[in-house]
Amino acid sequence: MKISTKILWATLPLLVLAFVLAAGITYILSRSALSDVAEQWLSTKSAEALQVAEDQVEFLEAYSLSTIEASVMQAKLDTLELLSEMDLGEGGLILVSNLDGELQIVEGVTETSISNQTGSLELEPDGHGKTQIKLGETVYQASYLYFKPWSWFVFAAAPEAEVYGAVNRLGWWVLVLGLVGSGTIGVILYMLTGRITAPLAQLVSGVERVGQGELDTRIDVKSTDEVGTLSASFNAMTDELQSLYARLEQRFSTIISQTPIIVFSTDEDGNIKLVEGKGLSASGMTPEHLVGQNLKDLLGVSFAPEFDKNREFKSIIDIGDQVFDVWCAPASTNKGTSEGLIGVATNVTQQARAQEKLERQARDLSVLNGQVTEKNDMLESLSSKLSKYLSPQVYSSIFSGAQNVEISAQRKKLTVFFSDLAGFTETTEKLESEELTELLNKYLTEMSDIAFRHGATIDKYVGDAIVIFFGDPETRGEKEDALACVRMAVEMQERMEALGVEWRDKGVEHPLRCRIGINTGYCTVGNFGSKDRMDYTIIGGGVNLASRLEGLASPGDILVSFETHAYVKDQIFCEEFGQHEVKGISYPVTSFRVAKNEEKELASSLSAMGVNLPDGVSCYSESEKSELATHLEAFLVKLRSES
Amino acid sequence: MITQYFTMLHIGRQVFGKTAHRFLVICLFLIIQIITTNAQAEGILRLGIDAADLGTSDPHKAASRNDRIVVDMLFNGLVRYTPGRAPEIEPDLAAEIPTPRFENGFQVWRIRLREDVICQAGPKTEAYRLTADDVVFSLNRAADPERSSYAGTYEGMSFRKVSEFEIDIALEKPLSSILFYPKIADYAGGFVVCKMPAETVGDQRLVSSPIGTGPFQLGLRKLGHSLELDANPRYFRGRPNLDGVEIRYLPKLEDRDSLLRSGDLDVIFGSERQDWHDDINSLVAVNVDVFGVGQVITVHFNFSKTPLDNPSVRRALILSLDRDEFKAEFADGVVENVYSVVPDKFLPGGLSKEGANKLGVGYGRNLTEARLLMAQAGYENGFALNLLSSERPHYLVNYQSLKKQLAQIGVRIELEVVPHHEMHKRIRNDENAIVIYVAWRPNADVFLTRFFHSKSTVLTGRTPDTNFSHYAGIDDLVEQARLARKPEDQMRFWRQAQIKLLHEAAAFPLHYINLVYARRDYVDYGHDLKASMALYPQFNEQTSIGN
Repeated sequence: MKISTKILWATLPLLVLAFVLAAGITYILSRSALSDVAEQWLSTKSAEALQVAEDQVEFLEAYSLSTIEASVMQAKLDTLELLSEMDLGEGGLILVSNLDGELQIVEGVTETSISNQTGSLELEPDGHGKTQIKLGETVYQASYLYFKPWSWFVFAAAPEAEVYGAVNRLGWWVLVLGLVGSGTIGVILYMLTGRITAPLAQLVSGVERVGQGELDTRIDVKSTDEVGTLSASFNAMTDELQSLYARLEQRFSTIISQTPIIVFSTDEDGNIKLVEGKGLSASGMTPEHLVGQNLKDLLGVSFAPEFDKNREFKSIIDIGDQVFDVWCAPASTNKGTSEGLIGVATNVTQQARAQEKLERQARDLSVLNGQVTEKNDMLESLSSKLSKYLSPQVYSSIFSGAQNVEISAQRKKLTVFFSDLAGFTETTEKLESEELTELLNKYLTEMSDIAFRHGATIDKYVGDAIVIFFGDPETRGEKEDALACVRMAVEMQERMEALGVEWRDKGVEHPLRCRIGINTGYCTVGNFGSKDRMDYTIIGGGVNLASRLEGLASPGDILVSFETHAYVKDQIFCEEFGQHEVKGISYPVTSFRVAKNEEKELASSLSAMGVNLPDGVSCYSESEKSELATHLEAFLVKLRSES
Repeated sequence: MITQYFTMLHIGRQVFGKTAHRFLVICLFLIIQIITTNAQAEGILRLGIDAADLGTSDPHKAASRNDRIVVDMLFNGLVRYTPGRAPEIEPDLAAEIPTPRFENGFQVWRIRLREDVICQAGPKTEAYRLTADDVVFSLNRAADPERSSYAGTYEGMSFRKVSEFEIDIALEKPLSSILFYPKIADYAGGFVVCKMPAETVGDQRLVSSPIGTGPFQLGLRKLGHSLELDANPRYFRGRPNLDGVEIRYLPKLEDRDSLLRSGDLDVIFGSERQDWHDDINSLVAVNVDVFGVGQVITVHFNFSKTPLDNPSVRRALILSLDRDEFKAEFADGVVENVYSVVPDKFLPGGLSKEGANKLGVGYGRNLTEARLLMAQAGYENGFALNLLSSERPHYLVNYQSLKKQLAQIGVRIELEVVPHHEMHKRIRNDENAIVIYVAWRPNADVFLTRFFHSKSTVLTGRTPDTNFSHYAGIDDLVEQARLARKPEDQMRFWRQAQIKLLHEAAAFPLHYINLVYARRDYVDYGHDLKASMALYPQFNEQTSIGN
């Protein structure tokens, strides 16, 4: 049943009932009210009529006409004329009678006497009230008053049919109007609700058609109310659905035609109803071959347990030499019951083969990896051992790949360090071989540690001699390299003094002392040798000068060349050691001796006292030295005596 | 015609010059005389009336029938009694029938004037458009006792110009339309006199040189013979069909009769006599018109004359009279019995025959009761009275009939017949114990006031007029009636007043006597002829004559 019909059947009885009740109540109340009004109205009119007569009597008295019979009669006639002109509605009358009920002549009234329905009307003088009178066949409702001066009864009368006629007609009219009104409102209500629900019905129909797949369904939007908005939204929704469905269909077709998959559907028993897709041709199958076959048969015995038309399942199966990834799901009806399966079988033969190959290669790679690890461990061990024979910088440079292991050299400005143990030969003669080895290793280890801390490159150990250089393979700058080298040398000398105390404690009578020569100059640095055996070392004049300065140095001293001194003089206190002829160099070599700590303190104190001593005495000749000593001793005597 | 004559004279002067002037004037005069003679037969209506001469053409003074005839053709009122259909009222100089309003305690009637009314040219003034100034002037003139015989009618009224064509009439005491409209109608003081000529020529000259707005204007007057009225070509209702009207003053019926028969008159005032009616009606080419409003004939009993001061005597006299016996003296249809002093046929407020009889004031002849009353009053042998009568037939026959009827109860009357004007004069000097008076008044108020209000008592009244009875019993009723706003209330007052005066036997209404005019059958008045307040058939722009 339509909504409009429901509303109509729900409201129409109420409307009819309401109208009938209203009609009944209106009729009763109206009859009562009109009756009261009519009585009141007649009473008022009779009083008005009486007033007319009273006015005439007053008039006669005022003009002294009361005693003139003709005047009184004329006044009565005038009164009757005035009363006949009074408006009492269509059938209403003002009647005047004497005490005997004889009617006075009133225009329009032919009766001569007044009576009621039962006969003659008996009215008491001075009486007043309401009564019923009859004129001809007409019954009147009347109100009367007695007018004593003329012995008149004055009636205001209205036909009963007129008094109550309106009420009686009103009752029927109200009833008829009620019923007609109910019917009219019902029809209007039905039409209005029909008009309101018609778009809803159209919408419901549209939704049903969309549910049945008619996505081109549209609702004709005519209104702007909520239903109109809903209809417009419905149309927008179906537009979007249709668009989505079209895109999906296109994509599905593309997938079906371009992707090696097989799409299929079955009935409730698993019999294939539809099958298509590019995967068919790739697998050498045709739809005609597959349609009608049972999916369980195709899946094979091993796969059969998976088959369940009421649930989704997925599996990999082999069909012939092809491998398929099969996915199935129940094809549900609108009521939620399954009416078969739909599924997709993807040909994954290539992927399966590739997977197998990858797994095989992974296993091979694992074996190789173990072998490589073993080799690496061995190489690491070898490398560690080799590093003992190489300067850490050279080692790092070679193993990091920064420097190729090949015969090549380059000229660089290096600071070269040469050291040698003074009296080592004499000492070796006094010591046993083991003690000597321990002493020498101790010495080299301690010096090497100091050298490593200062970033030096240890070129080689030659017996007790050590060749070190700064500036390759890493450099911190020529000045910094020179400073690092001199500081290293100073620390080595200090360490040698400490080692001398140790060695003396261990029974070495003449502790070993070290001579050190340092030069800064251009050298050739690199790998020297054959392709099978090479050394990383330095050669050149600069190396030779450092060696010569080491030879010039006293045990425990450090001689630096002029060039090195130039780099370190700002920070390392040195005294000039004079010029010396050295082997292999054609000109005299100027060198400087690195002062020891106490010398540096003395020079500093004297300087603070304004006494500036020369940096060294090597610049003096022997005679000059003797003379200078004599003067200084005399100065000392004088100084002490005065102090 | 006169205009045509002067027009031709003017043309002759221009054409022929002074030398031939005299000869040409004579020739033209002769030609015009011939043309005029023919034209009279064609365009001049000739009226013969029973008067010796024109009394006055001042509308605010005119009272006699022959004077009223003249001013009716010369002047207009603000409203007018519809020609031939009195007392119906219609607009005249006013554009519409006015209605009253109340303003500051006054009843105010605003009257909007027609804007196409032209005042006729006077001896010293040109024709000009009538405006509110003229109307206010005229009303003030009518209300001025020095210049108007009807000033009393306008007491308590003031007049004000509102605009060029609007005036207000303010009344201290409100009046009903029944009483107000006659004051501004084309009757007595309601005739509108144009201001400019009246002020120019003076009020005295207005008697002989009346300037109004009517369809005719004053022409040549021959004293004691005739008066010519020319058509007013600028009359606002259009030029009259007639070229003019010539009024012949012929007091003797025989003269009027013979001239009508010979074709020298077109219309004459006729006679009430039956033999004349019979004779004139035998003529094929003559028609007799009997129409209202005529005049009411009432027998007034003088309370101041013994023994008429006795109510029983007066009632005895009335009960000895029979209206039909009076009526028998007149031609059929000329008179009608009336039962109240106000004729109910023509005016509101009167009593019908049935009404009067029902009330017991109709008074039919009852000689037994009359004699009984005379005896009760001590006059079982009657008494003698000397009365005077006008020589006019409708007076004389009534007096003679009265004498005859009263003789039945022993009243002996010695009758003296005098000229009409003398009778008027002497009865106003209170000479008659019984006065038979023939008159018309425009409404019940005027009838009752002028004949029965104490102020109108001859000789002794505040404003002596025609209260020949010396009656003073209805003053308050008449005055109260005048104040009533509703016509129905007024009529009740008037009826009660008449009942009282009849009950007290102050007067005995006899007849209503219609006007009798005879005309040649080619005369067409141009309107119905039921009743005319102008006391003649009324000649206006519609009236025509043909052969």
